Order: sequence, then C-alpha cells, then structure tokens
Amino acid sequence: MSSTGQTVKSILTSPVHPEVNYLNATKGFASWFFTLDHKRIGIMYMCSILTAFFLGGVFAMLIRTELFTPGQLMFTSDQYNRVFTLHGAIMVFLVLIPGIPAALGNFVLPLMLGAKDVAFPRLNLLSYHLYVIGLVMALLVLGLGGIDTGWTFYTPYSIQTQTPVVLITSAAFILGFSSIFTGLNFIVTIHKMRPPSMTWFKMPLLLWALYSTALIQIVATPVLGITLLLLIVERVMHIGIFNPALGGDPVLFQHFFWFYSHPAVYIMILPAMGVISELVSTFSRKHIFGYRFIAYSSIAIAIFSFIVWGHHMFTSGQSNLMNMVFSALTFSVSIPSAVKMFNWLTTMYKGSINLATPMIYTLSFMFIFAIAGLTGLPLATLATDIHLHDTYFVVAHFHYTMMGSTLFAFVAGIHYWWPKMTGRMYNQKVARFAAWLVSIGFNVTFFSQFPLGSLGMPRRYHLYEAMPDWQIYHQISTIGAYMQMIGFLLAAYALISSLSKGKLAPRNPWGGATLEWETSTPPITFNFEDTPDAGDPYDVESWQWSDEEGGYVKVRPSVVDEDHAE
Amino acid sequence: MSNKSHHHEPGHPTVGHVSPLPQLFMVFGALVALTILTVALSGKLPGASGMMIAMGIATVKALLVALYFMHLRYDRPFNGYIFLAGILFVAVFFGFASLDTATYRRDILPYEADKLGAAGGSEEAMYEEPRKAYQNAHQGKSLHTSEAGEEQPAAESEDAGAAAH
Amino acid sequence: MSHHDHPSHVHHHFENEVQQFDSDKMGMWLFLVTEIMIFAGLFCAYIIYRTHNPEIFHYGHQFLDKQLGALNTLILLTSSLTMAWGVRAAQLSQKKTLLTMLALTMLCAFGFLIIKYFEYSAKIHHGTLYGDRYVWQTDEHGGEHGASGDEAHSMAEAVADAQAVSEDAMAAEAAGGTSTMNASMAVPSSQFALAPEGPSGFDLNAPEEQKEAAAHSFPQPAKAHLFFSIYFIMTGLHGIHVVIGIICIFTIFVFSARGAYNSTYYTPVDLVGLYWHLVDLIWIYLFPLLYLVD
Repeated sequence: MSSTGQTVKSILTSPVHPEVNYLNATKGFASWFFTLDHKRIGIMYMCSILTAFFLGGVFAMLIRTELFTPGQLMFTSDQYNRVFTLHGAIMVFLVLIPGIPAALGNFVLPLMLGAKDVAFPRLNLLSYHLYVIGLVMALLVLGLGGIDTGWTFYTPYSIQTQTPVVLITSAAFILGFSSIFTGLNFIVTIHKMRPPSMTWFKMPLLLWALYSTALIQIVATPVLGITLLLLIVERVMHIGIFNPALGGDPVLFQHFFWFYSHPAVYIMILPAMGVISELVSTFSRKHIFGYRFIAYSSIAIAIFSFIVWGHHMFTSGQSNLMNMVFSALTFSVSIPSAVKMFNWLTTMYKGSINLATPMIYTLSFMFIFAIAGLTGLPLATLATDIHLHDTYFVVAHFHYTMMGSTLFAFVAGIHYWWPKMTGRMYNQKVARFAAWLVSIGFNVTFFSQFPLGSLGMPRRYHLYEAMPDWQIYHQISTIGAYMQMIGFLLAAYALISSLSKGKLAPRNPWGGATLEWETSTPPITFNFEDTPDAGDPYDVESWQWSDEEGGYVKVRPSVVDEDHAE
Repeated sequence: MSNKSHHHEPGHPTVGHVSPLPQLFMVFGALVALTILTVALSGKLPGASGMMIAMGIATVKALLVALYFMHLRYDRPFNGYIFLAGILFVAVFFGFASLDTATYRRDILPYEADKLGAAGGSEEAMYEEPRKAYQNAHQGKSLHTSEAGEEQPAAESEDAGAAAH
Repeated sequence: MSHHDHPSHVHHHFENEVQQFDSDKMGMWLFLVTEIMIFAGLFCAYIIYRTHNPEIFHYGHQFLDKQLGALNTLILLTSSLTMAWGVRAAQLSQKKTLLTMLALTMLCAFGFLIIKYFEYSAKIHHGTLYGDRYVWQTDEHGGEHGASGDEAHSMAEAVADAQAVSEDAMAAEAAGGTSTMNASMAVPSSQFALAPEGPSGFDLNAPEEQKEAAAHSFPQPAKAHLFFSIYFIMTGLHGIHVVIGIICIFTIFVFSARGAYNSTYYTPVDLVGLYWHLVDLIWIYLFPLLYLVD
C-alpha cells in the first residue's frame, strides 16, 4: 500500500457509509430468514456453512486424535466408521459443494454484475431453506448415532447396514436440489442481467467460474438425485437393481454415483479458482494475465469433468478398456488447470504484491493446488494407482484439492469480501498470523500422509498396530491438524471481534476494480443507486490509494487498456 | 379466430409466440398417427431393427412435441441449445456407462454360473433367498394373496380393464 | 432505471417484461434439463439391463397390456394438445377457453392415472412385482418349459454352450498373448465366456413364426423380477411427475379463474405447459421401451 502523499479525488458520488444499508434496513428474525435479498441469503448461507464446517472439523479432530496411537484410543472400530463417514458427508455435501457458490457467490454475483438481485430471488430463498432442511436432517442422523457407509454410500453395504442410510441420502437429495437451484439462478442471472456495457469478455473471472460451476450443478446433480432415490427405493422396497443378491449390479451404482460426484469435485474447485483469479490481480496491483485463457479453461474443465468419472473405479471391477479410456482422459484435465496456474503466476510477475490476509491464503492455495494437481498424476496412471488406490496417498491428494484448495479459497474470499459484507475491518495482524498457521498446519497434516500412503496405510482404517513404523507419520499429521485448528479458531476470532471492535471499512480496502467495490460499504438494499458502468474488471489502475479515505478511491472510469484489449 | 400471430393486434402478447390452431391440430394428428404406426409395427420386425424403428418414431414424436407444443422452433435459440446440451450429456452418460458394463460383463458370467450351480441348476432358485425372506417376514403370505384378498374390487376391475392374463 | 413503464407484474430487479419473460423461460428450460438428467439415470439402468439381460424384457413385457399403454399414450398426447391450446388461449386473453383447456388437461391426467391404477393392480394381482416381492410364475408358465426348449436356451444350456466356446477363446487368447488381467484374476470357473444373449437368452435370430410361438411359452428367466423393478421405478417416477403436474395445473386453473392471466402476463401458464409437455415427452419413450419390446 503506497501513499502518493497527494489527495486523490473520487469520481464516485454516492455516500461511502449510508445511514441505511442492507444490514440495518429491516430488523428481526423473519426479516432475515424470509428475505429475498441475495446479500442476506449469502450471509445466512455463510453462517450455516461455517457451522457445518465447525461440525465437520470436530469430527476431523476426533479422527486425527484417534489415529495418534496405533491401537484404540477413544472409539471402537464401529464408532470410528461413523465418525469418518460423518466427517466426509458433512464436509462434502454441507461445506464444500455449497461453500463458495452459495455463500460468496450469492453475495457477490449480482454486485459484480451491477444488478439489483439474482434473476429468481424466491428460488434463491427456497434453495437456502432446502439447505437448512438438509442440515437439520444431517444433525438428526448424528443424533441417531450416525452412519457407517463412508460418504460414498457404496452398494451393497449401504443396502445392508442397519444405520439410517435413508435419512442421510434424503438429506443429500434435498441438498442436491438446493445446489441445482443456485446453479440455475446463476446461469439465468449471468445471461439475462448483465448491464448492456458488460460483454461476456468484460465479466470478472469469478463469474465465468460460477457459470461453469452452475453448468455442472444443472447437469450432474440430478443424476445424484436419481442415484440416491434408487438407493432409497432399494432399501425400502428391495427392487434389486443395485443388489447382487437379487441379480443387480453394484458397479452400476458406482457409475451413477461418480457421474455426479466427480463433476462435484469441480463444483468445489472451479469457483475456488474464480476467487483466486480475482484476488491475485487485486493484490498484485496488476491486470490479470491471459484473461481469455482463464475464462475458457473454466469452461473446458467443466466439460472435461463429465468424462473422467471412471478414474474413481479403477479397482472396483471396471473393465480394462474403460480403465484405459478414463485414465487417458483424466490426464487431459491437467491442461486447463495448468493454464490457470501459469496465468496466476504470470499475473504476479513484476506486480507490487500486497501480503494482506487474503493474499496469504491465495499464495497457499497456489502452492497447495500445485501439489494437489501433481499428486493426481500418479493416481491417474493405472499401474501406480493399483498400489496407491484407497491408501492415505489418495486421502492426502483429495484433501490437498478439496480442503487445501477449495476451502482456502473460500476462507480467502471471506477475508476479501468481509469488509464489504460487514462494513468493518478485521485485525490484520491476528488474521495474518492465523493464515500462516493454517497454511503451515495444513501442509504438516497432509504432506505426511503421502509417504504414509505409499507405505501402504489404507484409508478408513481404525487400527494399525501391526505397523509401528507408521505411527510417526500419523503423529506428525495429528500435530498439524491441531495447528490448523488453532489457526482457524484464531481467524474466526479476528473476524468475529471485528464486528464490535473493528474500524469502519472504506469503500474499497484492497483496490479491486470489479463493480462490487463501487457500491457503499456495506451495500444498500438494492445494491447501487445508479446502475454502474462496466469497464475492464481488472483495470486496477483506475483505483488509487488515498490516506484520507484509508482505502482506494476510484479516480477515473475503468477502460479497456489497449495492452489487454481482447 | 385469427391466427396471424405476428401482427400486433390488441389482445396479442408482447412476448412469446402464439401457435395457430391448425398447426396444433396437425401436430396432434401426426402424433396420433405415429403412435398407431408404432403399435402396429411392434412385433412385426425382426430383431433389433424393431427397436430401432420404435425409437426412431419416438424421437420424431418427441421432436414434434418440443418444436411445436413447446414452441422451441419459435423460441430464443439458446433455449434449444440448452435442451440439446442436456441430450448430449445424457449421451455421454449412457455411452461410457454401457461401454463399461458391456466389457466387464464377461467377468460376471462365471459368478452367475457358479450361483446357478449352487442353486442346483435351477434358475428359479438363484434369487430365491431374498424373496423367501420377504415372504417369511409377511407371515408366509405373499403380497399377491394378501392384496388380492383385501382388494377384491380392484382385481375385478382389472379383469374388466382387459389385462393381458 | 426508469419506473414509469414498469408494470406491476414485472419484479423490481428486472428492467422490463421482455427481460423477465426471457429469464423465466430460460430458467424453466434449465429446470427441464435437470428433469431429463433425473430420468436419464433410469434410462441408463434400462439400457444396461436391456443389453445384458434381453430375455427379462422379452419375458416381462408380456405381462404389460399393449392396448392400455397405447390408450395412455393417446390420452397424454391429447392432454398435451389441450395444454398447448390453453397456453394459446392465455396469450390471447381468452379466459373461458383457457379454463376449459386446463380442465380438459387435468381430466386427461386423471384418466392416465386411473388406467395406470388398473395396470398396477393387475401386477399386484399376478404378483408380478419388483425385486423380492416378485412371485415366481411356476404354475402359469412352468408347465410349458419343455415345449419351449428348442427356441429358448435355459441358463444351464447357455453355460454348457459357453464352456465349449470359451475353450476356443482361451486357446486363442493364450496363443495371442492377449490374456487380460481380469481373466487371469478370475476364479477357475472363468471357463465361461460371454453368452451371446445373456444367461438364458431369447434367440433373436430364430425365424419369426418360432418367435411368435415362443413368445408366451419360453421359460421364466432368472432375473425376471428386475424387469418389474425397472417397470415400476420408471412408470412410478413418471406417475409422480403426472401428479405434480396435476397440482401445478390446478394452481394455475385457480389463478386464471381469478383472471390473473392475459396477453400481457401469462408466464406461469407457459411454464407449466413446458413442464407438462416434458412429462408427455418422457412417456413417448417409456411406452415403446416397456410395452413394445419385440
């Protein structure tokens, strides 16, 4: 943050801190729970998702604590099965999939478009209510003692187990529709509600990412719906389609399941990549490099995501032919992912990097995502996968993608838009320390699991007494998990304490050039007093630091720079 | 009744396309004719070709419904693309899943042959166990007998409805 | 944004009614895609079982009534016509026609469900139900086993055939050195190779007359109950969609009775129409797939 010493004059005339904003416009529980305002829905989503994250985190800590010793510490094996299933199911269906689109996307998407709301505000509210129902059902399952199938609900075990599979799959079914409605809303909003001045290639990259995500949500999620419906029918009515005892085909269940659940991985990572594309430009004070490549690679990833699902089934009895086809196709996903990495790194090159809290998470994201991507290659290779399949190598790999990448981007996004959401600045020192602690803790936790997995430790195992050599890796991993826990609690403290103690946030604390920074802090109920003009969303030079404001002010309209003209 | 939908007369909508009635009737007539055709052809054609033709007729019917009843022909093209994209992903799903099951099928046959052997060569006995379990759970009465006993009228009307057997 | 030409039915966040209408319509089409994907799962299950166990379809479809299926198809097509006509009436502010058409559509929908009820109760009566609720038809068809022996293979015969074929195949594989990993990992009984028509395949290449004769007499295949599982889940889910359709049509019926729709605003009628046509469209495929298997 450099100060020019001179006073810079804002060209925006609307007040920075209006008397009435979306937070204080109306009061009371009903004014929130039945609101049609996308910003309030986004905030409610964020609170619910963070609650679910806390719950999933508690289960994660229980797992890591249990594995500190090779023998039994707290749980019987049956209890352990339930704990890791709940950890997985909660984190996947309640945290990672809705995380960025429903919480951050809902808040930011219409603001970035300069629109008043999403296309279907009622549908948006319905989607949140469905999420709450799903959350309550998951809690009910927890109260009933949990389930022990693993989050994948593989048949035939999920048909036989006595745990409440029907309830948790109904919850996932409902959450699926919540996700579909969010996606549907976003596609229509992006298509129909862009201001006339915002062409497709003047859209912020987060919108491209959310659009690609919504595409997957629309096409893949219904297949999860029918899969879970068939599983429910299978359990209740014994139709036998997935049950070998009745002549059914259990591998067919896996095809159905992964036709959704592989693209679901991209429902998680694509919006995360979108958030990173925004942040990396803002905090490098530089125009994004290779805009079109990043935009197209989002679409490419969304399409590729539908033709690689079989790589989850290399050892499930899938045919050799399809193993080879899926293996080859899986490698192709690395191309658009690498395109993005290259463009982010190049954006940072010769930029003036501001190591604010969101940027620390962004840098961790890039480090972690590189490892996540590279460890995916041996898993996509058939020969090595036979050895690594269902070991801690896989566990480490998907935590690097799902947690280290998606969740870090989510947390980065929360720190980035927090001042806009709440109107308050959080304590940078505490938050930055927390960010470093979480980042280092994450790598300690999960990097140790790569050697553990290649030594042969299978996933989902409770005891490893026969292999005392493995204990040291488990212990390192557990210590890392505690570091992360402290880091996350600290980050939560920094954010929550800012609500009462934080200083008033300026219009634009970081200097992002997308439209959401042009409105007041916090925004007014209908977002903008006048529909803003959309220029180049990465013309960061159009905002200059002002000591007087304590933030960036817009000094000229953002224009499409000839260097970056597409 | 005026069918000139493209003129802006009073009482005409500002948005959307109004289908002329003769068009609706013609489409309906074609749909009925195709239904009669497909029923008439069923069982008359050898092997897989019968299925192919039945599916072909169904697709023509589906296109008629989509283009005229659902106004796709006059709608914004993008809505049609959405529909086509949906069909494309369905094709991907069917294609990969059936390619795989077709190739691992040979691994299942031995398992089924063993199961048949264990059942003493009787196909009936292969999947008998779960059915027995179900019937035992219902006091030895099958759903068949219990339902038929309770719902005599239903059984009668079913006979009246010319059920196959 | 100017408020002077903002009619009451246009929500505040839309610029004008064209934008709102286009958005609503696009949203509906996206929703229809999700519906198609939901049914795609069932069609996928159908295709896979149809490919590997064609005999259960040839066997099971005899228990379905082709005439009733065709009648139901015609009823749904009629309801589609009346729905499309209803949309037209709404567009032209013809309230009476709209109400009549919606009522006729609902009537057809109920007719469809009533016929479906007769069909289902026939299945219950015969015990031809899904999964483990399937009652083996020994009494009715078992006696004809012998007569059909020529046309249709029993599984035991298929296995014997396969054994002979596979010995050649194994020899060929060994010679070519292309033995697959799956083959080598399989249990000794892997001497059985792929039987061309599934375990107890119905001979599709038999002369037509023989097939006709065999149609009602070939033995019950081992997985016959799976046909009825697929039949019930597909028609059941479709039936649920018909019920949802009736609820939606009834809702807009009530609203149009109050005069809610006219040429300036008829979007709900249009959207319910799209949904109803999709329900029809799915049945257009279900009918030949389940009833006209030969």
